[in-house]
Amino acid sequence: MNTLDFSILAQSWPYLWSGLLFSLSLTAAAFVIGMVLGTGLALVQHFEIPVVAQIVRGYVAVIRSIPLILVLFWFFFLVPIVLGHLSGNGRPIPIGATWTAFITFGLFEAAYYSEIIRVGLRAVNKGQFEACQALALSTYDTYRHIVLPQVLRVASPIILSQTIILFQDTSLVYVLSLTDLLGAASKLAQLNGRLVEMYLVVAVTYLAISSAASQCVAALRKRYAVATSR
Amino acid sequence: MFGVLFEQTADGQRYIDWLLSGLGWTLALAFFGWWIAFGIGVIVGVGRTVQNRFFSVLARLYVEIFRNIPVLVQMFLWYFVLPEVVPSALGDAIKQIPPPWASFFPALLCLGLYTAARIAEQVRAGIEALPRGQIEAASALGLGGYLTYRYVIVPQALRLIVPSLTSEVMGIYKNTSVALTIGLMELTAQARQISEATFQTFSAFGAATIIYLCLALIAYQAMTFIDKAVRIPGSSPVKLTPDQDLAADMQQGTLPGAMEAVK
Amino acid sequence: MPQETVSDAAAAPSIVIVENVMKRFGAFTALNDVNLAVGKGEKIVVCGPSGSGKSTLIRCINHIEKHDGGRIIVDGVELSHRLADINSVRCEVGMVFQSFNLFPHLTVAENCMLAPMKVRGISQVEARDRALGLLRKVRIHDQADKYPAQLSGGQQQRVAIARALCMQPKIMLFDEPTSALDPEMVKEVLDTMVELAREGMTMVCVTHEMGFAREVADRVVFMDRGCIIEQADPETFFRAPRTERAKGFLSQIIH
Repeated sequence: MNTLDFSILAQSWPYLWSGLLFSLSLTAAAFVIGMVLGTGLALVQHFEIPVVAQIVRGYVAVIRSIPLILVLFWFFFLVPIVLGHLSGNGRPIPIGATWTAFITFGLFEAAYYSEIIRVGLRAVNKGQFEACQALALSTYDTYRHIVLPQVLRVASPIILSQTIILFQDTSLVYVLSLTDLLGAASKLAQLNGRLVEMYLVVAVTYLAISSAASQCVAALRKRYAVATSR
Repeated sequence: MFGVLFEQTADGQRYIDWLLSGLGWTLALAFFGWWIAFGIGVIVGVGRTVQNRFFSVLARLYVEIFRNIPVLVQMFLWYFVLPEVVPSALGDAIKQIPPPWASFFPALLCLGLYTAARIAEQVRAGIEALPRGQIEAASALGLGGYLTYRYVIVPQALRLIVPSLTSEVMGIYKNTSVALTIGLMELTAQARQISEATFQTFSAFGAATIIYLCLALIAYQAMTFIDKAVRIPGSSPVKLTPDQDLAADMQQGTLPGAMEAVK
Repeated sequence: MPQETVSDAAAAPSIVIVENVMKRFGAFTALNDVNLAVGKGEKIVVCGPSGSGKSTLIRCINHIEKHDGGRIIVDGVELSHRLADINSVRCEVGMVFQSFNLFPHLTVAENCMLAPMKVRGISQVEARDRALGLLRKVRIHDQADKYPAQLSGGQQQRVAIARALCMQPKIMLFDEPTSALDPEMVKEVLDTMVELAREGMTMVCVTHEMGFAREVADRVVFMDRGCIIEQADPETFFRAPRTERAKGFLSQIIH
């Protein structure tokens, strides 16, 4: 058993730190894109918009049934081709692994968030809709001011738990050779040979961030449970 | 479109053989990993709910650690870090394991223990959802702690969580693809290899995607079947309508069209 | 005093006209050829056994249920299934539900302000003034910035009444407003409704509160199996119901 030597951290932390920042910004971007798009996808299904709803349902089912790594491979291959077609000249436009990661995680998470919101939409009490009707609120106002705020509130613990999983999943950009926290550690490990220390540091960092976040979600859930009991 | 799969590879096989071999590893990993996860998950989940503080803290710690580190990082810990931190004789023995088993066993351990933490949380939720009266009735009958859990609590809790276990089954077979990072040639890795060998990326990934979709469908069907098979007769879940009055007005209460939330 | 209102109501033109209305849920007929006219300022109590269609009837009046046949005319506008008609009717008709249906994520005041601002287009300041005024009227203005879950059932139902009044409706519909309340809270809600009745509001109430019916109703409408079986002023109805079904119903309600 080799002795552990964490002094190596002194020189490597700026690189690890930039890796962590990349992981966090990927998480944040995927959260924003995923929530906006996911709400849209959920509403399309909720309103049973013909054809579009079926397509969305298929998209969500496929994305949720295949591994994220395969999705990353798919998008890495497809996004340049699709962009090429959109731009008109038909030639693939290489956008690089970083952009692929942002787009993939955004679209991938949208499928997961949309399922949460779709179930939330179904759970809204029928009386809420009736009260809105009785007050002559338009469909837009009903969803904008009454339904969606309630859905997001009720679903917020699940949405946040999913976001913690998302944060952990961003480590999979390793397969695109990106320099996220794990990628940074792995590159340093190859340089300095201290892979035990590097991977342990990464594990502890993820553990600390995810479990702090989980505690916050648990506290939120508890507070919410008190606020809605009646 | 999938014609390429039947072409000869450099090693004399056909590409579809690569895919099928990948599927084999994926299934083996998911199947055996699932039973490890289920066994440990039930034990840890029960541990989360017992009075004994030592066990409950230990179980809590297990869940916190295995749930809050990304699967990929755990994969690296088992594959790269474990042989270095155990006594060097054992470490060397681990390093002597020939491929592909050198990748398979760490991956199996990783997925099993990771999924166990997730299952443990489901089991705990299932146990906590049971009415208190069940434990009280068991105690009143003189059943001890072990017998109460073995014959009263766990059987009911597991039935409750069959639907949510479905997503864990889906989770573990999807996570098998993470094993490609430590060199296991499972389904996704084979698809990528075919794509690199033939440049038929669309066919290669498409075939893998279809296989994964079939697996999802099978997993879903199997869990639905299990849910039905283990359901206690007479306890089919009844969804109550929130609008009691309308239900009363309509005398029996279940009219799908009228009940559905207003569009 | 009830007698006076009866004569007033009789003279007034009808503000709600329900003609030959049919409503089915699948094979079940909830309303079978129902006719009812409500005069301006009239107070009607609808009663009947559960499943008699009384809730369905008033839910049809502001189109929360869609009637399958017949005509409903509210304040001169026929309730076709066109959205514009439906909304113009709903602006004139306030509704109070059995289960309150307050918006849990909005404060009491916000519950009252939302629809006037979004539908009537009044300013926030004006909406708040109006909300506070009406909350004062139902005697809970000191709770204006609390959330519904922080209030008792009786208080919540009074907020629901204030919320409906904020739209300045011409007619108020009450769908068993006291059925979901603990007994000690029924009175505070009924008092509010009585006060509203005294001010001349047109009201259609589905309720089993016979004391309330006696005190304010101009007319009691008795329904069973989707039909109006009998209607009369409360004195007559309670003293001498004409039909066996009404007698049976009353004997169950009044011990």
